[in-house]
Amino acid sequence: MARQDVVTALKEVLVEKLQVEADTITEDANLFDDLGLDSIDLMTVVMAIEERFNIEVPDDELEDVTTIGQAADLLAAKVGTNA
Amino acid sequence: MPNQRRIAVTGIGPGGGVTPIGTGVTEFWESILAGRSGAGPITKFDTSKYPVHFGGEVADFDISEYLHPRRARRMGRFTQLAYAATKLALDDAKLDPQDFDPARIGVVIGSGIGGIALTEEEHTVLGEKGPRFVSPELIAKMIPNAAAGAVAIEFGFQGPNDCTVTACASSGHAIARAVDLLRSGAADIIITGGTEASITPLSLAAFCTARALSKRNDDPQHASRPFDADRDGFVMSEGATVLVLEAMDVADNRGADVLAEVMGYGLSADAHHIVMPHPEGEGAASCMDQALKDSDLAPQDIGYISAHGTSTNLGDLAETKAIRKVFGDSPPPVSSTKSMTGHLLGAAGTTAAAATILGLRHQILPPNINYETPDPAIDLDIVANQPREAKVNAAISNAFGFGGHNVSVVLAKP
Repeated sequence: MARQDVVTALKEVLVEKLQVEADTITEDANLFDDLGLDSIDLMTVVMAIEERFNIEVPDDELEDVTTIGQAADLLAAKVGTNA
Repeated sequence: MPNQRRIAVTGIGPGGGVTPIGTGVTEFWESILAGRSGAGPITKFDTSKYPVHFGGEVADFDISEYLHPRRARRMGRFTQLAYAATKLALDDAKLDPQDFDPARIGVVIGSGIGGIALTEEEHTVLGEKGPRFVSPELIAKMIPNAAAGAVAIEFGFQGPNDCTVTACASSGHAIARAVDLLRSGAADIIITGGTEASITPLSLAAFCTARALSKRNDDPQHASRPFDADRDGFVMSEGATVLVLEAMDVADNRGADVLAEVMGYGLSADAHHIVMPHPEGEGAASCMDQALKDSDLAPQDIGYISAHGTSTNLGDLAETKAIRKVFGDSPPPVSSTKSMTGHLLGAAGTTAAAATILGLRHQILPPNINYETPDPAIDLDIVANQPREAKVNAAISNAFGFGGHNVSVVLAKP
C-alpha cells in the first residue's frame, strides 16, 4: 500500500465529508489553521481512514499531527504494518 | 399589566421552504389564501412497509442557498431549517444584527425531537460496524438545543440562549420564554421559533404504531382535516418558523414595521395523560384563560382563534370543549392552519402564530381547509375552506403537546 493511496483517501474524505476545498489540501497544509478543522473533524477523518484501510490509530499517536503530511505518514505506517 | 415592556413582532421567517407550503413570508401567505395543502408522498425513504406513505416534506430545501456547506455540515437538518428560517425572519424584519449590541440579542428555538434522524443513522452504524465508528459529531448535532446554539454561533447573538422542548407545544413555549426575557429586560431582541425534521424511518414507524397519523394514503391533500367529522389523525410535517420579537421601544426607535404585538401568554398542564388530552379540555381552557389575563383582555376582545387542531378525533374535540368553556356560547371564528401545513410538531406553535400574525395584518382569517362534513360534537364557527375577511384586533393561538403541555399566545394588531 503506497503512501500516495493514503493521501488520496485523505483528500477524498476531506472533500466529501468535510467540504474542504480540494486545492487547499497540500502536504504542508495545517489541518487546523489552513483547513479549518477542529478536533471532532480530525476524529471524523481518522475514523473514515481507519474504516477504509482496516487499521486502528490510538488517540495518543494523533496528538502531534498537525499537517496533512504528518497525518499521511502516520496513517501510511499503520497501513504498512497491517498489510 | 401597566408599565410592562411591550413586545413587537417585526419579522416572520417560515424559511427554507421551511414549511411544506412555502419559503418565506410571501409564499407562505399566498398558500394560506389559496388554501393549499403541503401534503404529499414521502420521498425521503421507502415507506412501502408502513401504513402511512405521506407527510408534509419541505421539498427542494438546499441549505447552500443560505449558508456555506462547510458551516452547514455541522448541523442536522432541523438546525439547517432553523438557520434558514432565522435568516428569512431577519430579512423580513429588515434587522441588521450589526446595529445592535450582540449581548442584547437572544435566541429561543424549540424542537420536539431535534436530530432524531442522526440518532437513527448512527444507531445503524453502531449495530453494523461497532462503537468505534459512531460519528463523534452525533451528540453535538442531535441535541434539540443545537438549533438555538447554531443560530447564535452563525449570527453572533450573545444574549440569552434557550431551547424549549415540550413536543408539539415546543415553539409556543419558545414564544412565552421570549416574552419573559424581553419583559424582564434580559434582552432587547429575541429570535424565537421552532424547528422539526422528524420524517424519518423510526419516527414515522412510531407515530404509526401509536395510531396518531391519518391513513388517507389515496388522498394526502385532504388528509389533514381538523374539526371535520371524518378526521382520522394528523399529517406529519417538517419545517421551521422563526419570529423576530423586539421590545416595542427598540422596534420604535429603529422605525421597524411592527407586524403585531404579543400581548401575553398562558401556560398549563393537563396533568391527565401522557398523550391523550383531558377529555373536557380543562388544561387547554385554563391555558387560554391565563393568556387572556396576562394580556389584560376579555374573551370578547378576541376575534380569531388559531386552534392547535391537529385533526385527531380526541384532540379536536377536547379543544372545542376548552374553547366553549372560555368563550361561552358565541366563540370567535376558529381555524387550524394544520389543515394546510400538516403538523410541524415542535415548529407548529410558531407556524400557526405566523399565520395568525399575517391574518391580523391583512384582516383575513386563515382558512381551515378540508372542512366538508360538520361534526355535531364540534359546535364552533370554523373558517371553512376559504379565507374570511374580518375585523379582528386580537387573536389567540394555541399549541398543545404530548406530555400534556399547553401554551396559548395572544397576538394583537399593532
